[in-house]
This record gives sequence, structure tokens and C-alpha cells, in this order.
Amino acid sequence: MQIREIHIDGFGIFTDKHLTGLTSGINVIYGPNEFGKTTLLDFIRRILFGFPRISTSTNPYPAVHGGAYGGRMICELDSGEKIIISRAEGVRGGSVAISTGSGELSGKNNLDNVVGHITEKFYKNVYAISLDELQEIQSLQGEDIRNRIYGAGLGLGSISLVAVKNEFTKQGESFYKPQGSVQKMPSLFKEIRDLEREIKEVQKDLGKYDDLVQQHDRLIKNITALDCQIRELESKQRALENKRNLYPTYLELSDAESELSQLEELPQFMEDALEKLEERKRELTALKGQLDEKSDGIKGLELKMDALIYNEQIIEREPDVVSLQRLSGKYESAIRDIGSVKDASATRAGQIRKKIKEIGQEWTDNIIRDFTLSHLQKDKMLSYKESINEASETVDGASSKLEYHRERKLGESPKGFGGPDFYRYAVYCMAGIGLAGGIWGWLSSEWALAGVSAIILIIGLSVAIRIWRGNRIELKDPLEKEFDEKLREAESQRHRLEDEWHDFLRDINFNENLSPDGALEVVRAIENIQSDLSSLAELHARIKHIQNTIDEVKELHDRVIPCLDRSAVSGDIVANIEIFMQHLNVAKDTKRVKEDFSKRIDELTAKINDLKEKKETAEKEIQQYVSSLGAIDEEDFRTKYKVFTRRIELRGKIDEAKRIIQSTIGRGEHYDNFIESISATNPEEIAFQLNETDIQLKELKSERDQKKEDIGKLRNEIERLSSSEDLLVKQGEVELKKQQLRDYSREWVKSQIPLFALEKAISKYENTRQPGVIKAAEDVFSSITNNAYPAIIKPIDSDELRIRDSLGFNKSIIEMSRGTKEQLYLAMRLGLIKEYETRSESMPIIMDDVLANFDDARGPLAVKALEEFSKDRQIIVLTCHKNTLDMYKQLGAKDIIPTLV
Amino acid sequence: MKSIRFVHCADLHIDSPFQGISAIDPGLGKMLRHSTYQAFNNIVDLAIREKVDCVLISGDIYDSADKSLRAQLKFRDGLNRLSNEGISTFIVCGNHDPLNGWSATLEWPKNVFPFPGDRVQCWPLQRNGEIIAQIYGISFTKGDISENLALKFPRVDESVPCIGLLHTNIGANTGHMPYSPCTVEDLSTRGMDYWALGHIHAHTILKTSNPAIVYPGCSQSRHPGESGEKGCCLVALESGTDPDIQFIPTDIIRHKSDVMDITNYITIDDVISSIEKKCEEIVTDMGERHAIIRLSLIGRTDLHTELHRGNIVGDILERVREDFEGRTPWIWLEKLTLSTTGTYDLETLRSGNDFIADIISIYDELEDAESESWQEIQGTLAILFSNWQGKNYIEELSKEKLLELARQARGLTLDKLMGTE
Repeated sequence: MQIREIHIDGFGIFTDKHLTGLTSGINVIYGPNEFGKTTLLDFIRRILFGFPRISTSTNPYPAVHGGAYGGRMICELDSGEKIIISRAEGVRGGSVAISTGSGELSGKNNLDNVVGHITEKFYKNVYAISLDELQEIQSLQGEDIRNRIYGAGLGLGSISLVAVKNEFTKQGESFYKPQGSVQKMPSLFKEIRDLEREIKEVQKDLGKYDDLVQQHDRLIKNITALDCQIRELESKQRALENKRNLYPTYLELSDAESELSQLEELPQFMEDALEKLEERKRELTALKGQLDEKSDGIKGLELKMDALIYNEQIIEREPDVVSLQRLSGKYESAIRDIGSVKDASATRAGQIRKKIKEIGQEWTDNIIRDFTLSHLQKDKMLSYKESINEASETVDGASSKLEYHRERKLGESPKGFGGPDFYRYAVYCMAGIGLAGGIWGWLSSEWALAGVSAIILIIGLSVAIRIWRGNRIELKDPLEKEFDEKLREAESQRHRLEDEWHDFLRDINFNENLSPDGALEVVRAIENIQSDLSSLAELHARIKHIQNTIDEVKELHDRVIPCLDRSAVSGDIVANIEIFMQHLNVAKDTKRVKEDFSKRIDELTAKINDLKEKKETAEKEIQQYVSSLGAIDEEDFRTKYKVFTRRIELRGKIDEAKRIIQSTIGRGEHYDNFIESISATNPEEIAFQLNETDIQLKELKSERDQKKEDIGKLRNEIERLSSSEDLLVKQGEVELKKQQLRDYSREWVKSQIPLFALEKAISKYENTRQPGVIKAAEDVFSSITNNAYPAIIKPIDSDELRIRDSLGFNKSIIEMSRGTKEQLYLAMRLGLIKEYETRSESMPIIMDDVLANFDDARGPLAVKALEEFSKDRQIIVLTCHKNTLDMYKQLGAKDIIPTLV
Repeated sequence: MKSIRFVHCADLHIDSPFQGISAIDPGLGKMLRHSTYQAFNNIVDLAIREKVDCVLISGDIYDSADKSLRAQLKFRDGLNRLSNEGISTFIVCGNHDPLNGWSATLEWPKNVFPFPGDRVQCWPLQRNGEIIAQIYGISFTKGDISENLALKFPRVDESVPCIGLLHTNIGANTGHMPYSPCTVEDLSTRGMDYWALGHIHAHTILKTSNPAIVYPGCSQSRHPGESGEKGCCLVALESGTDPDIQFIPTDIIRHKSDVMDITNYITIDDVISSIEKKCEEIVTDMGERHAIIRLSLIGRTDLHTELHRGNIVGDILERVREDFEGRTPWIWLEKLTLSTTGTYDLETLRSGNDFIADIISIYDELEDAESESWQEIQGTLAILFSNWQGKNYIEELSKEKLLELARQARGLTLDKLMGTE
């Protein structure tokens, strides 16, 4: 890298100063003292490596004339790329920025990448030197510089041995560092120790568990003992409670037994003795009751019988009353119908007389009643009628034919239509209307009208044709004659038949003037009258029958009516019949009731007699029963029975009391002991003992509860201890960490062995192979000293340099003059630079009047050597000596002074 | 000789923490914690399912040093289940659970026969009131018994099968504490038909008959070093025939360490997918057990430098774990060790004339335990292994381990000096 421009915003005495035109090769910046050369040197160093911390040993170069602290340098890399390195005030050496063609970068790391990871120390001691650094032998003792001296011949290419060693060192120290505490291994070790302490704590659980289990077992025993005591006390408490609770029962038992012992024993009495007596008494009482009931019944019936009276007469007339009731409806009809039937009879007789008169005077009702006409005669009459009618029709037919013939003959004359003219006109009119209507109907599609019109037209035309034809018939003679003969023959036949008819009429006593139809009409009238006469006879018979019924009813009514009080009856026969019936029914019912009463009285009387016998028997049995149980009488019986029942009651009490006591206490010995025990105490004493027991029990139970609570806690703790995974988890963690620690120790070893090997190899290399730096330095030193010292020696066992003169004598540093020493150091630096730049980015070399102590002979030689060295490099020379400037200028160096100031 | 069937188990180590694991998912961690108890439950289930005559437990039921109360109570719960089924349990205590390590208040259930520590006791095993076997045994009274307890057993000659229960290290098996050491000869002369031993965590049958001498191994492995299946023995002893000894796995979680050559791998994604494939291959014969897997990547590969950069290994681990997350049963890639080398040729480098050749020569010196460098590095490392207060937790480096680490360090050094970093 070479610097092309320097821009100082604010640094020491410089404010807003610019140095441009720097080129490859030697650039001389000439200026007097106080000009600011050292300030410029430090500015370049600090732009590249940062502003140092403020301290007494370093000059901070504050911007005394104002301006922003810092500045920038425009540089050109070996690759030809231009970059701008700028640095401003800030923490950790100030904020640095690198502007490249491809963008902006910032931070030390990026700058290191650009400048090839050169260290500040190396740059300061090798590249950017003033007379002070040149004279300081120590400035060439740094490990980096020392490694650089030998590194050129290591055959490691671009690998830096220091970097490799640093890497191994860093790697090793990440695991372990003596006295260190934050590295991986001591950190892990601490974690393991902590975990082990925790494990020890958890492991105490085993002993704790055993203690807890023992405590638990002790407590169980204690509780068992307490349970035993509590059970005993509870037993005692229950016994006392039983005494307290059963004491009233015991008293009842005791009293009952005492009373029982004083009562007479009645072995013959049974529990149902009184019940049996009472049963018998109830039976006797029932018998008495029945007796009384039956006697009262008889009395009641007798009273009721006396009160019952009925009409015996009407009962005797019951057949008449029944007949009357049967005929009552018929009688009512007869009374209602008789008038109308008589009127119908009279009307019919009148009609018959009128009909007889109509058929002729000769007819009477008797003649008619006796008149008969045989079927033969009737048929003959009909036959005459037909024959005469046929003969008449024949006459009419012949006559008509003849007449027609004559008319026709007349009509055939040309007179045309013989009828009146209006007929003709009517016919024409009809035909016209029919035609017009047809056309109209056809045109208007009125087919009904067209049809009707067509019919009218046809009729009109037919009539017209007929009229027209009739007028043209003509009568002719032979036919007329024939017709005339036939007429006469027919008339003759008719006359003969009419004669026969008259004869027939006479035979049957009919008026001979009657026509067959008239005769037949008379026959039908006679038959009609005969029917009426028969109907009249039936009406007469009915009237007679009705009258008979009326008469019969009246007779019966009259027979019955005396049986009743007159006030009870009326004049109306039909109403009376109803009254008769009512009275008859009442009398019959009363009679029947009375008869029932009588019958029941007889029955009751029989029953009373039976009951009396039973009552006597029952009374005897009661007395026998009382005596059989040792009692004198019923009263004595009852007294004894009371004693008997009391004994039972007392026994019951005793048994119940025993049952109650035994249900609590038990039987046999327990019961006996309890009775014996309770008889010897009293309620007050029991209450006292009970109270005492309660207090003891409460105390024991409280103690037991406490212990149970303790056991619960113990069990929880035991459960917690026995189920805890803490130990295993922590042990697992420890094992993991131990393994990690072992792995780390191996990794550490793998970093220490290379360090060891590298140190050994470097030593070996130093001892056996000549470093390239020395060789390069030798060339420069030989040139500066004009071959006075052709060789530089690096002893095997020392870091000190020696020089060998042309005669082969060695000189140590101490033996060298100041100028020679500075020339050697300059040569060494140039050798180092040459070696360094074989594998790193070149850096600008800055020299602040380093040739001050070189004599006139070696000064120009040094300048020449520098000129030679500056090919492909950049050397910036700062000087306050004009002759120095001139020397450089003679060799083509560039004078930069005017642009800065 | 009567015939009997029994379950023989030992080294249950109920509720003892897992060791040697540096990272575990919390869910799987919980399963790990419960796995020893579950394995014991599996034994109880087996005994009940097979309706055996008895269960023999040959010591180290739990670690009394853990002072775990829960372990004892859980053990008792299992015994209760057996007792309720009428199955007798015979117990001897071992170095991890000597008689003096049991809870003072713990009561054995019915049908449980613990053996005393002061003498060999004989318990008859009965079926329907008839003695069908004689069980002999003696417990550890304390953790460090160096006496040959086998010699305390009587020489028996019974008509019924005789079984000896003992927690012992036959022939001072390396890798196990040499408690109660004895020899096969010591056991063979006692007249027993079956020696039910405990202490060695790997299932081992030292003799198949006359007498059978059997270690069932632990019921659940608790360390990545205890790989393979773990369980108990289901044994049938019958007259005139060799015992039928069936190994029944009871473990819940199984460990497996394996290597994977990634010589020809090109990308990290290839490595990840191959690791996952390898894990799936490993668990194929594990059934429904959860697997904790350690893989070591080997081979000369271009990926070597990339694998060593930053926390790539951690990232791969995370990725594989994420990919297996939610899988049932679990696959947990517990550790991924890088034992790869770069594509550089060590011999060529060694023959160079530069700093690399010098540093390889230093590492070559470290191969020799007698060399000055070996002594010097011991001194360098003593700062941690001898002087640090936590030194007791990090285990002294064995010569082999140091050599292994030195080789890894050489790789790391060369990576850095020759790589792009």
C-alpha cells in the first residue's frame, strides 16, 4: 500500500491541512524544526493503528487550532485499488472507516484485512521509524519481529508462525490457563464441584430415609399402643353408657318382678278367657235383641194391617171392569164413527137412485140387483158393434171413392188451380221465403236458418206441384159406375146387421133403439149400480155392528157403577172405565199387602219362639263357663281375670326390659353380670365414671391424632425421598460434565503439544538454517558501508546481532560506532521489510531524519541504497536538513514540502 | 437330577449414572437415567413370562457409593412383582453393593433370599413343597474383598441341581477390579452344576458344563466402552444334559463405536449423509433399542482441512442429530472424532529441509517415550495433570492416549502450517 494523499482535519498543530502528490519511490518532505514532521509521522501511524489512550507517555496531539480530530489518507493498494482510510475521534482508538471502490467498511478488522494484519508494533519499529526507534536496540527484540527475521526461510509460504502459535495458545487458553478461572475447564470444574456438593446433600437422603422409616415404625407402634388403650377405654365408656342408658329399664324390670311375685297365680286362666266370656255375653245379648226386634215387628205389622181397607165389590166385578177396559177403545171408535157411517149410507142410496133413473125408467134397484148378462151375450154385443162399424166403414169407403172419383173428374178440367187464389199466393210466398232464407243462410253461414228455409222451400214446391197436378185430373164414367155399385152393396149389408142387432136387444130386454155403443154403455151403468148397491149393504152391516158395541159397553158400565161412590164417577163412560180400573187396582194392591202382613206376622211368631229357646241355652252356658274357671259368678270371674292380665303385663314388661338390656349387653353371663353390676350402682356414680372416661379418651385420641398427623408428614417425606430423581439427574449431569472436562483436557493437550513442538522446531531452525532476513539485511548493510561489513551474524544461542568486517572479524553491537549501529539497524529493518512483503501487502516506509548520524560517505550510500530499495515501494522521508533533501533530490526523489504548508 | 429353569442376571447397577458421555439430548438423557431400571424390569418380565423357578442375581444390583435410595426401592418393587408370582429370588451382594451399603430399613419381600457375607449359605429351592435345587452363595460384606470367596464354598454332592452364586473376578480379568479373585479350577472342584457369577460386564461363558461357569454380563451398558447387547441368561438345568443357556437381551439403549473412511469424499454434505447412512446400518440389528453412537472419521482426504476448520465437527454433529430428531427408537451420534489426515505425504515432508521437516522431526521424537521431547512434554502437561486442582477429574493420560493425541496434534500443526488458514 502506498499513500497518495493525506488530509488532516485536526491533529496537533495541523488543522485542515492537505498533503497531496505523494507517489511511488522516495517522497521527501522538508521542513525546519517545529514544522510538524513528527506530528505527521504520528498522524500516519495513528490513522492506521488508532489513537492511543491518553497517558503521560504518549502525546495525544490535540487539535490545538480547532477542527475535527482526525483525518484521512487516500492510499493505493498493491493491487492498484484506491482506498480512503479515515479515522475520527472515538472509543478504542477512534472510529475508522475504509472506503473502497465497492463500498464503505468500518472497524479494525476490516482495516487489518486491507493492510495485511500488520501489527502496530511491527509497523512502528520497522516501517515508520524516527531516529529514536532506529537507535533503540530493543525495538528489534519483539517476538513478531524476531520471527519475521527467521520466517523468510521457514518455507511456510504466507503462513505466519506467530499466528499459528497464537492460535494454538488461544485455543489452549480457551480450555485452561494457569491461575485462570473463566476458561472452560475451571468453569466446568466449578460446576462439577457445585453439583457434587448438591449430590452429597441429596445422598444424605438415604440416612434421612432410614431415620424417617425408623421414626415412622416407632410412631406406628405408639399408635398401636394408643389404639389399644383407646379401645379399652371406649369399651369401658360403652359399658358405662349402657348402664346409664339402661338404668330406667333396669328399674322397670326390678319393679315388675317385685309386683309379680305378690300376685295370685291363676293357672286355669287363659289370655282369651275374658274374650270367650264376652263372646258368650255378646251372643246372649244378640239373642235378646233379636227377640225384642221380632216382637216389635209383629206389633208394627198388626198396626199397619189395621190401617189397611179396600173395595171388595169392585174386586168382585173385576171381569166386567177388565171387559170394559178392553172395550174402551172400541167404544170410543164406535161413538166417533157411527154418525159418519150413517151419512155415507144415505149418500150412497141417493146416488144409486139417480144412476137408475139415468139408464131408464124401466130399471129399479131390484131389477138391477137381479140383472145378469152372460159373457156370451156381452161378446155378441161387442161383435155386433164391430160388424156394424165395419159395414158403415165399407159404405163410407165406397161412398168416398165414388165421391173422390167424381171430384177428380171435375178437377182434371183446365181451370188450373181450383182452390182459392190466396192458397196459391201463400204457396209461392212460402217458396220465395224458403229460397231467400236459404241464400241468406248460405251466405251468412247460418246453417240453421238455411236448413229451415230449405224445408220451407221444399214444402212450398211440393204443394205447388200438387196443386198443379190436381187441376189436371179428369173424371171418367166406367169407374164411377163400379164405385156406385159397391156403395149400394155396402149399404145393404149394413142394414141387415142393424136389424139383427135390434133383435138381439129385444131378446135381452134392452131398448131396441140402442146402438151397440149405447147398449154397451147401459151394461157398464148397470154393473156400476150393482157395485154401489153392494157397498150400501156393507154400510148398513157396519152401522149395526157399531151399535152392538155401544150397547154392550153401556150394559157393563151400568153393572159396575154401583160398586163405587157416586162422587167418584162421572157421566162419561170412557172416564168411568179408567176410574173403575184405578179403583180395582188399588183395592187389589191393598188386599195383597194385607195378606203379606199377615203372612209375615205368622213367620215372626215362629221365630220368636225359636229365639227364646236359644236364649235360655246361652244363659246356661255362661254360668257353666264362669264356674269352670273357678269363679263364683261373673263378677268374681272379672276380678280374677284382672289379676291374670296384670301378671301377663308384668311378665311382658320384664321380658321387654330383659330384651332391651340383652340386645345391648348380651345374654347369659354378660346379662347376669350386668344386672349384678347395675344393681350395685346408681345413676350418679355412673355419670361420674362416664365423665372421667370421656376426659381420658379425648386426651388419648388427641395424642393419637397428633401421631397420625406426624406419620402422614413422615410418609410424605419418605415418599418424596423414595421417588426423587434428583440424585440420578445430578449424577448424570456430573458424569456428563466430567466427560466434557476429560474431553477439554484432551483438547488442551492437543493445543499444548503443537506449541511445544513449534518452540522446539523454531529453536532447531534458528540453530541450523540461516534466516532470509539476515541475508537481505547483509546486502543493504554491505552497500551502505561500502563492503566494509559484508556479513551479519545471528548467533545460535543469542538474539544479539554481530557484524563481520571484510577481514573476517566479528563486532558486537557494543563495539560498533553510533552511525554503524544505526546503519546496521536500518539495514535490518529494510531486510525485515523485504521479508515481510514477500507475503503481505506492502506498507509505506516513513523515515524521520534517520540519516542524521550518517557521515558524508555513508550518507549518500545509504540514500542510494534507499533509492534502490524504494523501487516498487514508497518511502516518505521527513527531514529538516537541506543537504539531505538535496541528496535525495539528486537521486530523483520528489519534494513534497510546498503542498503541506 | 431334577430339572429347573431360572434367570441368571448380575451387575444391574440400577439408577447408576451413565459415564463417558459428553453430550446428550434431554429426552434421551431421561431414558438413559431410567434404562438400568427398565432393563431390570425386563428381567422380571422375562422371569414371569417364562414362569421360571427362580431368579439369581449375582451382585452389583446398584452402586452403594451413589447412596441412591430410589435404586433400592425400585429393586424392591421388582422383587415384589416376582414374589407375587411365586418366583423366588436369590441374591448375593457384590463390590458395588456390599451388605453394608444397603438401607438399614429396607425389608426384603417374601420369597427373596439374600446371602450372608460371613459364610456360604445354602438355600433350598422348592417346588410344590419338594426341594428341586440347592442354591449356595456368599455376599460381599464390604466393597473391597480381596479374599478368594470361591474356596469358602463346600464340596457338594446332591441329588438335586446345585448352583453357586458369587460376585468374583475370575483370573483377574483386566478392565475390572480384581475383587474376590478366583480361578476356573477353584470353581470346578466345588461340585456345583452351575456357577452364577457376576462382576464382569460382558456376557461370558467360561465353561459350558461340569460345571457351567457363566457371567451374564450387565443388563444395560452404561458407558460407550460397553458396546454390544446386554442382558441376562435364561437357563434350564436338566439331568444328564448340558445346561441350556440362552442369552436374552434386556437393554434399552445400546452403545456402538465405529470408524468411517472418508478418503474419497468430496463435500461435507457427502460426509453427513454417509454418517447418517452408517448410523442406520449400525442400528439395523438393535431392534427397538435406542442407539448411542461414536464415530471416528479416518482416511486421507481433501476435506481434512475443512473438517478441522472452526466448529465444522460440531456443526456436523448438530446436523446429524437434527436429522435424527424425532426418530423412534433414538439414534444419538454422541461423538464424532476426526482421525483423518490431509492429502500431504508425511514422508515427503519429513525428508524436506525446512521448518516443516524440523517440526515433523519433533513429533517423531514424541513417538518415543524414552526421548527427551517425551519427557519435556510430560513436564509441560504436568501444569494441568499434576498441578491443577481439578486434576482428579480429568484422568491421567496413558502413554497410548498421549501418543494418539500427539499424532492428532501433529495433524493439526501441519494443517495450520500448510493449510490456507
